[in-house]
This record gives sequence, structure tokens and C-alpha cells, in this order.
Amino acid sequence: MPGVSDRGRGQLGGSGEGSPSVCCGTATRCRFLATNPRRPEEVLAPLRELGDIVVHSLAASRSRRIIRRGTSTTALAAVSDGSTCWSTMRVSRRACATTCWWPRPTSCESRVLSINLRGPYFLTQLVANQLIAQRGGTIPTDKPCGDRVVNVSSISATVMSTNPASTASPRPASPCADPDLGGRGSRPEGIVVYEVRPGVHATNMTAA
Amino acid sequence: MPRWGTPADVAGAVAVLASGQMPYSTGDVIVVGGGMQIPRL
Repeated sequence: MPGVSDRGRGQLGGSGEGSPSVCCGTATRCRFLATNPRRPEEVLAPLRELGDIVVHSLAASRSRRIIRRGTSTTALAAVSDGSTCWSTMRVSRRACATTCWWPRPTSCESRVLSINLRGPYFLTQLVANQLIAQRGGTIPTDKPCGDRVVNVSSISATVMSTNPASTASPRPASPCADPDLGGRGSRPEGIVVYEVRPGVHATNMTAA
Repeated sequence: MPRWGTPADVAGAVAVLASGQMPYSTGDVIVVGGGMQIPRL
């Protein structure tokens, strides 16, 4: 596993049981904000090699509405702390309006967002804004890869899925939003955005 | 590959991207599907 060379950050997201919801790593620390507290250690092990990992859990099933409202606040505080993460859970339109201002969605993006793909898109924006703010709004020309965002989606975004709609519906978000965020939105700011699209993999959802 | 993927496979890909080893790429999609997503000819 390669080492981390600078202050890069990454996000690991996904609504499935098999992957931690979000990870944001720095050169020395890596934190998760998990919407499901039962995360397998095998997921965390490769990322522990990036640095220390702190796992935060949200009881998603207990009060989804409260979590939706609190997600952006939690994310904001975590990123301001200099290390952490956010959830790819859907966030309310009000939260998006108050916390995300960069960049303004185009009409194409609005159509994407209209089918409930707000989570990865807006939270990536949220964290990107925080990353820009933390460095005083300057663009690091000497470190083109200083800040990194990695969203995890699923091949169910492009392949027919028989998963429950509530699980599958957010997944086309990242395939649509990440290339755009990585190109139009974040590239001028020196932030790179990647997407990891897992295929079929064994999790506790597929067991038994 | 004759197996299902594991969460560790996904985490490994994320670790590589988060490590900054691909500084001149952005907006790219990395498929971790073991080739299952490739249509048969």
C-alpha cells in the first residue's frame, strides 16, 4: 500500500453494508463517519495503513430525519477539525442551501439532483468549500494533488439492480456528479475528485 | 476473476487514490468489479 505524501484527503462513501460510509484521510489521520456502526475490520485495515483511523458512528435507523439535518453540521465540524469526514446520506434541501454554495448547479445537474442524488454531490461541495477555506482561498499551484475526494458508488448505477429502490436510487449520483465535480468544479481549485465504483462483492447483506 | 469482491478490495482502491499516487487525474472512475462488468463478446 502506498504511503501518503502530503495533506491529501479522501472520502469513502457508499450506502451498502460492505463499505464504510465515508472516509476522509490526511497524511497522518484517517477518519470514518459510518452510517452503520457494524463495519467490518477488513474494510478498515487497508486504510489504517494511511494513518490513524477514528470511527464515528451514526445510528441511521434510529432517527433518519435528525441525522439528515445533522449530517451537514457534523461534516462541517469534522472537516474544520482538520481531518474528517462526512456521510453520503441524503441531506435536506434546506441544509444544502445553507451550507453549499460552490458551484451553482447547472440545469443538467438539477435534473440529476431532482432524483434524490443530493448526498454525494452536495457533501462533496461542502467539504471542498471547507478545504478551500482552510487554506485561505488560495490555489496551490505547486501541489496539484493536495486535496483529494474519493466517492464510492456502485456499478448498480449503470447495471440493472434488484436492490431495494431506497438503496439503489442514490447510486447514480456519483457517476453523474463526480466527473463534473472533478472537472468543472474542483479542478480550478486544486482539488481532485475520484470515484470508485465497486462491482458485486460479498458483504453481510449477501451472506445467507 | 472467479470470486466476488470484498470490502477490502474497495478499500484498497480508495487507499491508492487517497495516497496521491495519481496526481494528474481527476473526475475519473475506477471500477472495482473483477471484470464482471465487462460484457461478453
